[in-house]
Amino acid sequence: MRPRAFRVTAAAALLLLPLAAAAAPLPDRRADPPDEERVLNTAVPDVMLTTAAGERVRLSEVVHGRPLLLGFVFTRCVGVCSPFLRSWRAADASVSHPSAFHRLVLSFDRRDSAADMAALAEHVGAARDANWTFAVAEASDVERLAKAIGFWYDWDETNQQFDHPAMVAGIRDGRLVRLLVGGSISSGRLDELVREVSGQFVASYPLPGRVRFRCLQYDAATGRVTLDWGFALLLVPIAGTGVTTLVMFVAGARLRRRASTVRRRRAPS
Amino acid sequence: MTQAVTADDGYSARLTRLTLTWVLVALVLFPILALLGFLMRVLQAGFFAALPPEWFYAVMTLHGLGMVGLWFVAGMAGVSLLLARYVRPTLAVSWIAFGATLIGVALLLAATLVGRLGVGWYFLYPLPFHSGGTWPPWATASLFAALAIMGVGWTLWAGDLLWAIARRFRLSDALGWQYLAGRETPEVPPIIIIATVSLIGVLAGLVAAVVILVLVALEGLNGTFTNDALLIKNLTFYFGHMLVNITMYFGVAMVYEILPAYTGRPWKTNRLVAAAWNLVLLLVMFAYLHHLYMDFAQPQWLQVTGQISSYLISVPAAVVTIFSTLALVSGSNMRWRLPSVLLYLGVMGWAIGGVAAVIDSTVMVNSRFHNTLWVPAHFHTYYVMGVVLMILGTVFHVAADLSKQPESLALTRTIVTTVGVGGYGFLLMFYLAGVAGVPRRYATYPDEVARGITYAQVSLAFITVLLLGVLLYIWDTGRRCVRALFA
Repeated sequence: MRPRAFRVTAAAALLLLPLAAAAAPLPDRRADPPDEERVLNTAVPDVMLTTAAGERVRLSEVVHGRPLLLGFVFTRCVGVCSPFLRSWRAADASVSHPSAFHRLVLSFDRRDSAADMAALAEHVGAARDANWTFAVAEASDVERLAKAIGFWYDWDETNQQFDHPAMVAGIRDGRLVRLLVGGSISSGRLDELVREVSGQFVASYPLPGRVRFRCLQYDAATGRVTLDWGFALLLVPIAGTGVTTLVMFVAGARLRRRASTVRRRRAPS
Repeated sequence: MTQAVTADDGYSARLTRLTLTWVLVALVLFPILALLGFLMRVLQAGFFAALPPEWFYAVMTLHGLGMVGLWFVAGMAGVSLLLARYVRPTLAVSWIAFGATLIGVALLLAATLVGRLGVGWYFLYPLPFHSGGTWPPWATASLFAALAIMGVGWTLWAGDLLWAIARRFRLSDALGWQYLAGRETPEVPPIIIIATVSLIGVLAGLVAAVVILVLVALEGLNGTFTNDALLIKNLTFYFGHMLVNITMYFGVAMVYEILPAYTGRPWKTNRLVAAAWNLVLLLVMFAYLHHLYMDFAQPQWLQVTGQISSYLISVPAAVVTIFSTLALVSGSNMRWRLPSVLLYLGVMGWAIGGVAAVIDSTVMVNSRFHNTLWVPAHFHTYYVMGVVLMILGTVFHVAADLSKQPESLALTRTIVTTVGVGGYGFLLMFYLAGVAGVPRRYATYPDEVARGITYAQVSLAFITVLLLGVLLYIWDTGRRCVRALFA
């Protein structure tokens, strides 16, 4: 390939790279649970709710300054919602200070009414529990809340159901502090969430299998640390610059030789 | 002796115009960015308590990134001008870097002052992506766009300067290996060796930045990909530490090139100087590791490498230069003018900041000092009282030469006194607060470290004196530059 053509092609390829990347299909978000790291500390909007009892109240009025655990469901759900709520209720029974925080179950389905949520509360045995609120909200407010805590829901035309994750968001002082993701909530995991929203430090770890190019791998069984492919990326600056420098100085030497030859040829003999 | 480039087809005039343009931009940005630093200390002193802390971090980001970028380009522009005595850099490339820098500055201003991006100058991953609603996603995008645009411009610029050296010198000569082999020819001025070492370092740092940008872009475009925070931190400090370190070497290159004009003695390359800068080239690739002492996951052998490199790098670069400077000045008929005083004070400031840096790069000490104001104390010492003075001295030297206006010795005394007293007073408050355990990066101090408020309040008086000196310098130098530019 001629040098000029190569340069033009390379430049075009470099320019098109971001476009190609942007045009690439987005990953299927159903393949992964919600990513807590992207939404931590996000401010949760103080939206208007309609409770199962038909009262119109702001979220802050329901919470009264306490930490909040928030879960999204819809009453026509034939999948995870009911077992999720039941496991949450069961795990909640072993919490040591139940009135220290509030629980809100909110529908994201605009077809749900306050009466539907009242029936759901009755169904899971939380209708007369003052620490639990079941509610609906305007679609736009639901959308804002869901976005703030990293919750998503997609209508599946084939199944006539919403596709959505099951999760509880831990909120303190109006900001998200922890997500508890999964269709079944154990008392141990709920206890961690409660301690976290109460201001205690609870260690957490990133989801396994998502990190590419690790510098190191740690084997917990042996305690050994081994280098991984990411470490090779640390050598790229040294190697890249070394090669570039050598190429430049070799090219410079050639230029000098060529200029010297031209000068000798032009010099009167 | 290496012959200076003498053929002139208007190149010198165009180079001077370009350099003066860089200088004028720097002289405008410097006091603005310094005022942002003043504002940070105002907030820490307990004034303007109503201002949300997000503003402190946005200002900290702009101040840090701005100052690092500003003195890097000022160093590059100064070295380009001085290198042009021996080689011929391409002016168009420098103009491209100038344009890229302006676009980058505009994007950074938008990200920090409009978007309130508060990630610090090191934009440590994954903080830019986890704003918690404090800044919008476009501010993060703006930061990385600014880095990408400036990175491309600066890479081209550094590459062109290295290419200019490569067209004139063999690599072994440019690195002074003939002196290591005991030969004195071909004679190469120190600035060529220092610039070669520095430019290779700059390119390595910028390549690290490219790797960061690619990894970050991959994560941004692919929701299932997460980067290794340790890898990105290594790369970030490889890039950041390199840029800051090399900026200082640019300042030192200026000292080597200009100070002899005031001492009346030549400053020639010898075996010691050549050996020192070759060692720097090796060690500068690993010195950044001291930024990761707090990262328990980093293997111990890398931490040890970081400590050894940090200790050793102070010997060839700093000690050789400092003792050479003292030897050059001692017994000479030194003309103490503003440029020579600033260059001399700059070398001494570099020495003081270097000692503080070596103390902090000791693992046992770092475990106590790492998150205290000792850290900004040491890097402000070798910046404000080190490389900044070296660059300001060089700028005045060039401006005075071009404008042909006589220097006012009274004004020189005032500038040196105010900058010296204000600068070291301001730094002393940082050091004392650091020793007292006052944490860094706190917008306001809670009761447990309320003593930090007093240090911040006292430092405001010193910063005011320092700023007065800086403004006097800018007024005196700026008018000379404007006159020279439009003459």
